[in-house]
Order: sequence, then structure tokens, then C-alpha cells
Amino acid sequence: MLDQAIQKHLGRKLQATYNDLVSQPVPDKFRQLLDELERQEKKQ
Amino acid sequence: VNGPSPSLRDELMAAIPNLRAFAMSLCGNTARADDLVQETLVRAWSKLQSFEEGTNLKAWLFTILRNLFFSEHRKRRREVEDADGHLSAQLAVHPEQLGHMDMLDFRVALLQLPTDQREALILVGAEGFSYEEAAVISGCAVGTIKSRVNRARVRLTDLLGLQSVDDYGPDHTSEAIVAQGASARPK
Repeated sequence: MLDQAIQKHLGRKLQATYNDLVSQPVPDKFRQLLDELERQEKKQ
Repeated sequence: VNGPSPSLRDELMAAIPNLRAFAMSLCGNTARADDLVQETLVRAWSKLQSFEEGTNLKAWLFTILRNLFFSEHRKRRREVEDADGHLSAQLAVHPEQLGHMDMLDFRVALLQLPTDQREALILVGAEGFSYEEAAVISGCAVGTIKSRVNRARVRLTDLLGLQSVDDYGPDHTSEAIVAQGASARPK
């Protein structure tokens, strides 16, 4: 078993690192992709 | 035609930041991560009829993404093995080169973990899925997830050289980042 303090520390580091990725701006191509998928569906 | 309701489209849109973060954590490469997310969205859209509304959309999307990643990953690994007769190192950075603790070093250490361990750690420790949810997403037993998370923690501790209290004492900077990130994080 790992030391509780180490585990807590790792958890914080992990969340900080991950949240940094989550808060990156989303490229516009994804919105365009969903628009395109929606458009194609309406045509059918 | 039964298209996705506007709210489902918005939900897909809202899930993208987390899908990108998960994909980047798996493959460690932004361009490849974006390809994975794009493929996931196309797949999800074509299979929306099979998604039961009211169930966890995010978990469903994560499942699609990780399945795409691992089938590609296995294929690539076979190709590398065929070509070289051995696995190429996942990263050019060796643990000895890991300096003092900061966010970049943590990221490098994270990428040194075996992919299945990294996946389990991200799902449970970063995305906040339960062990049960993570097991469904990864298509394995709950005990397997638990042991992967545990092995990931032990390995990270080792890679980061965490031993003394000084190494993991209160870190107000990262706490502030966590608080900030948590509020910015779409749920």
C-alpha cells in the first residue's frame, strides 16, 4: 500500500495535469463536423 | 429520419474537451488525439440510435474512443514488432532524466506508464468514473481496474522519485490549478 500522502499528492497532480488538457480550447473543426453530420442527416 | 435531438448534439459538443483530454492522455499526441475524437464523433453519430437516452453519454463516448484507440494501437504495435522484432520505446525520455517535480515531469512520467494502467488511472483518478464504470468502459473486470490503478500509482511514485515528505508536501500552486480546472470542467 502506498502512503496516503503520496496517493493524495499524485491525485492532485493528475487532476491538475488533466484539467489543463480539458481546458484547452476546442478547435472549430469539431463544431463544423457536427454541423456537417447534422446537414447530411437532414438531406436523407 | 430519427435524428439526434438538439440537446444530444449539444451534449456531444460539450463532451469534446474531455474526449480530447482522454485521447491526448492515451496517445500523447495532439494530432492523433484529434483524429481519434473526430472518428469517435462520426461513429457515435451513426450509432446514436443504439444509445439509450438517460444512460451515461460520456461513458458511452469514452468507450467508443478507447476501443478505436486500442484497435489502432494493437495494429501499430504488430507493425512495429514485425519491422523491428521488438517494441520501440514509447518515449525517448528515460526515468533518470526526470528532474524535480513539476507539471511537465508529471506528464512525462504519466506517458511512461503502460497504456492500460494509464487508461485506468485517468478514468478513475482524473475523470472521476467509478471503478465499476471504468470496468465497463475498458471491457474488463472491476478487480482488473483496481489493480491497474494501484500499479499505476506505485509506478508513478517510483518514476517521480517520491519518498520524503518534502517531495509531496503542501503545494498551493497545484491546488489552485485543481480548483480552477474543476470549475472550468464541463460536467
